[in-house]
Amino acid sequence: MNTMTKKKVLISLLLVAILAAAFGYYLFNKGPVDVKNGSAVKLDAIGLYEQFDADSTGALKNYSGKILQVTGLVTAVSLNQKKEKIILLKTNTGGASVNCTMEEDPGEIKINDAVSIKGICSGMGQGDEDLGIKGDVYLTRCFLIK
Amino acid sequence: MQSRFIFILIVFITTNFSLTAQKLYTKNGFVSFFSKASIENISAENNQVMSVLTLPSGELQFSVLIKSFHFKKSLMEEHFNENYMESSKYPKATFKGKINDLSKVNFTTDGNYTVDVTGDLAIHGITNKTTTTGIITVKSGIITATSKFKVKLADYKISIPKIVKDNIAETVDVTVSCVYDQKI
Repeated sequence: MNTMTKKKVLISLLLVAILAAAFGYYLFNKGPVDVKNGSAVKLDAIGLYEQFDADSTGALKNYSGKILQVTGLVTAVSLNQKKEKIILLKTNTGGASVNCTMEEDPGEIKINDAVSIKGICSGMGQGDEDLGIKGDVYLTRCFLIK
Repeated sequence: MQSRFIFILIVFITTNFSLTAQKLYTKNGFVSFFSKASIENISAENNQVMSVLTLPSGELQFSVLIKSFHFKKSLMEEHFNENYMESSKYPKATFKGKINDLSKVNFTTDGNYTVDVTGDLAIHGITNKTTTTGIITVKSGIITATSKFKVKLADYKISIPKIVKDNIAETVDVTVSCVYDQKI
């Protein structure tokens, strides 16, 4: 290999190393997933809950960690300790909801409003047999879709 | 006269019972963890904790979906779920136990009451007996339970790859806070 070729190889290797480091740095510092503009699986709150209720393992595989856009009727609006809005969507199971923690304030939302909410599904929470209540299906980092 | 007395007694016992035997719960409690490390501190929050507090027995339950923890960086969240907590295999962490000295708490007087809690903490498919202290806060009839405790990762077989061992503390600080806004 002559000096010129050696130089070229070295420069190429250096470039690859710089690119790899830059990519690594980008990955390391990459912020959370863009839920608002990300593509979502669309379904309704009643159907989503029924799928988790019938086969939680299967539903977990299909939806957990994915961006979902869920439509439904609002049954309650409250604030959590971080002052984020919690919107509960109606299901056909008493005491159980699709429980959405809003990342962005959706403005005024009233009970019985029909809404469409985009968020990341984290699965079905635990219920309490003695209480006779079932767990909610949770969506986090939610945005209201207008 | 006697039957009237018995009637009053029955009414007293039943109403008193219904006032005291109560389950308080929330489906949106808070839990966070913090790990101090040389390169970068690691922290995450979760606002979707299910917790039930039974009165007057003091039974206490928490259930947390691992995927509800959120990090500032997506790579950390991915590693946390896939490499450390294996959240597809073990989607929940739970605590089932009891407040041993709930009688210390005067639910009719506002204040902070320090209590002892013991129970089973299950994380990553491993269950360990644990003891910690917590604070029950009574404010205008609203009950809040908070606790800070340490979790040693090795106790729950959460293994850290050698390459990042220096960057992740062996023990993480966990904070739990639940406002019991629902009751049955």
